[in-house]
Amino acid sequence: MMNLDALNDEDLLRLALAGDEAAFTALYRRRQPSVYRFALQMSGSRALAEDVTQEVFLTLVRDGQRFDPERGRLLAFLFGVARHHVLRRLARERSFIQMAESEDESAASVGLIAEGDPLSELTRGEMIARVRAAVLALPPHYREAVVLCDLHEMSYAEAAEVIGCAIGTVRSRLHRARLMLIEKLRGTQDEAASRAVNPTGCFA
Amino acid sequence: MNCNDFETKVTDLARAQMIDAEARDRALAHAATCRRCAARLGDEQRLTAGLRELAATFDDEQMPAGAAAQLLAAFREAHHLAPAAKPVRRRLAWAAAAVILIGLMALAAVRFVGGRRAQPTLAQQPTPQESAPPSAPQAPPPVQIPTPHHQRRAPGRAPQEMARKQDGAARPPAPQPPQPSPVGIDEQAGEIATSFIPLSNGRSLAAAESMQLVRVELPRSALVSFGLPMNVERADERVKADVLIGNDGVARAIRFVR
Repeated sequence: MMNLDALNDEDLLRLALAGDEAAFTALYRRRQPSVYRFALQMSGSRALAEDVTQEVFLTLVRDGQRFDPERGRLLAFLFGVARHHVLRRLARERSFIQMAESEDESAASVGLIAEGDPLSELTRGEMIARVRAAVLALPPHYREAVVLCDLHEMSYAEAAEVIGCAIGTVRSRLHRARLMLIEKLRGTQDEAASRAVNPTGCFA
Repeated sequence: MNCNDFETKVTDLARAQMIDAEARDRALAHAATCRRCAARLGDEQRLTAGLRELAATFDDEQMPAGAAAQLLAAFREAHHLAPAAKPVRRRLAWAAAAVILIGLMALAAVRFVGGRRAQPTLAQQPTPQESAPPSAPQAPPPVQIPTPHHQRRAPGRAPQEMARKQDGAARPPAPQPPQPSPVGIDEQAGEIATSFIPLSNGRSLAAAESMQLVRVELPRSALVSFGLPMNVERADERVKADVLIGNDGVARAIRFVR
C-alpha cells in the first residue's frame, strides 16, 4: 500500500485528480489547517474562514487541473485561492471584524505601560488581544503580508508567490505594515493613558 | 550605517531573518550609538514576539469535523465514486430484496395451497374410492368429513364458482351417467381437469349454499368407475381428484385432475 504521507502535495493532488479519495483526504488533512488559519487570521471570523476553506478545497476538487506545478507550489496555490476568496468576502463585508475587542476593557492596564514600550508591560492575554485587533485593523494588502510572513513564517518569496507580486513588494508591504502595527499599539496605549488615571503618577 | 540604512534592515533584524552578517553587525553597531534606532529595534523585536504569541493562539483552531465529510461527498460526486454509485447500489439492493421477498411469499403460498390440496380430508361418505373396484392395487386414502374448523377453501375461487365455470351454476348435476366432459384448465395451478361429475347421492349441487373443494389422490382405477378411460399401463399409479363436499360433509361431485 502506498504511503501517502511520504508523497508531496503535488503528487497527492495528481492522485486525487485521478479519483484517489485517500490521496485527497491526505492532502486535505495536511493543508486544511494552515488554509483555515490563514483565512481566520485574515478575516477574524471563524464562519468566514470555514466557508473559505471549503471553497478552496472545492476548487481543488472541481478545478484542480488549473494548478500548474511549473508556476509554483500547491500550498501557494491553495493560499492564493483562499486569499482571493477572503479579499472578496472582506470587500463585501467591510465592517466585519469580529475578533476586535473593545478598547475600553483594559484601559486601566494599558495606562500602566511605560511610555515608548507599548508591549512590554501588557499581560500576555491583553497583548495578544491587542495585537490581534491591530492586525485585523490593517488594510488587507498589508494584513496579508503580516499574516503570511509573520504568522505563517513564510519567506518573502513564498509570500510573493501567494500574493502574486514581486518579492520587493512583499518586503516593503511588510515593513510598512509593521510600522502601522507599532503605531497602532502605541496609539492604543496613548489613548488609554489619556483616559485612565495613572496610579504610578499619583504616587510618584 | 546611517538611520535610513538602519531602517531598511530593522524589520529583518527583528524577525531574525537571514541577512548578511556584515550588514547585521553594522546595523547593531548603529543601534548601539543611536538612541532612536535602538528604540526602533526594540519596538520591532517586541512586535515580533507579540506576533509569535498571536500565531501560537491559532494552533488550536480547527475546522468543524463535518466539513471534511462534505468535501469528500463533493469529491466523490466529482469523480463519480461511491456516493454517486451508492444510491444505485442501494436501489439494486432494495430491488433484489423485494424480488427475494416476493419469491419467498410466492413459494410459501404455493406450498400452502399445495399442502391444503394434498390433504385427504374427505368424509367417510360414499366416495369414488369406495366405489372403486376391489381389484384396485392400492387402497384409497381414508376420507374424512371435514369439520367446520378443518374446512379449507380452494384459494381464489369458490366451489360454486368452480362448478359454475365448469358445469353451469344454475344447472343441478344431472343424475344420469356422467359424460366425458371437456377438460378445463386451471390456469392458477397449470392443471388440466375434467368437469365435475356429480356423485350419485341424489343431492343437488345448487342446493348447497357453500361447498368445500378438497384435493385427494385415488387409485387410477377410480377413473373406470366414473366411465373415464384408463391407461392400463399406469394402473398402479394414483390419480388426483378434486371432490366437492357440501356443508353436511357429503361429497357431491368429483373431477379428475392431471
